[in-house]
Amino acid sequence: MAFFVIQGLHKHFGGLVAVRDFSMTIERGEIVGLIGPNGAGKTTLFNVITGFHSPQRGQILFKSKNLVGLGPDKICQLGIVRTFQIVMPFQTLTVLDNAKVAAFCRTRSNEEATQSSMEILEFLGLKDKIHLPAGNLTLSQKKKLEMARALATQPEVLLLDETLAGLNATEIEGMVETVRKIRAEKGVAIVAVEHVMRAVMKISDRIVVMDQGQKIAEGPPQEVVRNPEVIKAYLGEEYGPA
Amino acid sequence: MAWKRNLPYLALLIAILFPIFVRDPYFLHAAIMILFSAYLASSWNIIGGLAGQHSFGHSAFLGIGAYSSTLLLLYLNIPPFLGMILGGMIASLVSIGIGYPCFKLRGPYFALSTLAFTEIFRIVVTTTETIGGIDLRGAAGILIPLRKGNSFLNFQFADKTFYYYIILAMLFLILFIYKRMEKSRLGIFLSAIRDNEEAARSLGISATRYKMIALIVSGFFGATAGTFYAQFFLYIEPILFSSALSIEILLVAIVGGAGTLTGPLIGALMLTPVSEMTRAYLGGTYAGVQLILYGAILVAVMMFAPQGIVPPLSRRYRSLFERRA
Repeated sequence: MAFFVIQGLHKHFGGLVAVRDFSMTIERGEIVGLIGPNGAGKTTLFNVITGFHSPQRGQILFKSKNLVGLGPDKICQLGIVRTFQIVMPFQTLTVLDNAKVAAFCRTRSNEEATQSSMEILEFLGLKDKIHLPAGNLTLSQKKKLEMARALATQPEVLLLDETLAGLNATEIEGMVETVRKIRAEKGVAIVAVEHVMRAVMKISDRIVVMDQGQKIAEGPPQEVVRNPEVIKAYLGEEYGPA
Repeated sequence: MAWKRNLPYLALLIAILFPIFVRDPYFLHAAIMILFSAYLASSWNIIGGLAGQHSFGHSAFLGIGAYSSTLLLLYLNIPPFLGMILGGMIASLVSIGIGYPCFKLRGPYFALSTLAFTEIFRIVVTTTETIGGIDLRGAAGILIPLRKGNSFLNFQFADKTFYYYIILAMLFLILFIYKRMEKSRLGIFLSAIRDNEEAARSLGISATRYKMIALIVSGFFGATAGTFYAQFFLYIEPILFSSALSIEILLVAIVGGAGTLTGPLIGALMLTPVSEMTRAYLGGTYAGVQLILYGAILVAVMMFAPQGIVPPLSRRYRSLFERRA
């Protein structure tokens, strides 16, 4: 039984095709880097997978169950969760309550939710911030909170949308470590949309490259960056295959 | 620290003793209206404040409650206290009908669609003289026959003090429920939906479902306020359904601080005396003055405390105490 399979996914908005016949698979506990120029359709792909948009064609099979047509809340309950490119903390709630919102996805008990939230916040180094309103955090803390919330839902697949964007070099180092730790300790499969190439190369087991809604390359990081199609997509025609 | 923790009890004590020391019927009436506004705004605060869905249709529930219990009393002789609960249930059912289409919309579109609903109710009730043998009496409204003495069975009291304590108890109850709700799983979900619905949904929360629960609870309590109104004034009319009244309700909550426990009470303490005083001193002569004053207060609040009066106040006091500690 395949773990996570996307088959022939197609999404267009009016005349604009955002995702075109896209297929890919994800294995348990794998880290997949999803890269591509701006407007390639990466975020739309996330929106379709998590049920915010419904695709015109195609299937998304998670442990043989088709996710197409399910709402974001159902998909999260099944074990697939995302973070947002633009951080979306619950501003008026405390850091702890932010995580508890997510933890309540798995339990009705207040004590259990509090306990599992505390564990995850400690795991991500936000333990001393738990009573602050989330609106008061710095950007990198907000990104960590975004990740903590996602993990609090106890996912099997974690979709990270540009977690590193806007962070400085030291923060990126820390975040890369965090992503690795998540995979190592929680066994979560991770798909990371990233523009910070150095980081993507470092953490990904495999890289998928999108351009104009299509998958143009796929493979181990070292191979993908030498792929002429990829170079063309990033740098333009004259650098592409002769 | 101690006096701050005891502040709510002090306020409650003052509220309980108020009618014993203030015997002037005019002030008692004003106090009842303040508590009534606070209660009504608190019921709105569940959907509008906690869940952040600014409903402009709350008067629909007030009207449904007032008409339900009154008609149940007149036609089936059901005691108003029971009618109050039944009216609340009817309003809860109606809230599902209102919520189902309206929750497909967000922000101002949601507000407008709820406003449309209450206006539909107002127009239908205004123009309906009789329906299936039940006299709604259209624009003329319905009088509840006056009974002598003080009777809980009839929910009629010659002594206004009874009304005062009833609405005080109702307000206390709804504040208690709000406080319990706020820290519960449901309350945290509603706050999350208010802060960012997209993020809440992505974390497994069925936003529509929880907003619906908030509206059902909010509608129930809004309707019970309607029964209180009917039994206090012994006269109900279609204007109870008006969107203008809805706006008054949400202004009370927003000026005080939507989504805060005490916001509706503070808002009512500020705004209701204004409308009561203009009504008493100016009567019908300068009909717009109340609205001018309301507008001025609203502008001031929006400029200096856009979150309402309570949030900056509680921040100031918290920092005051932290410094001393």
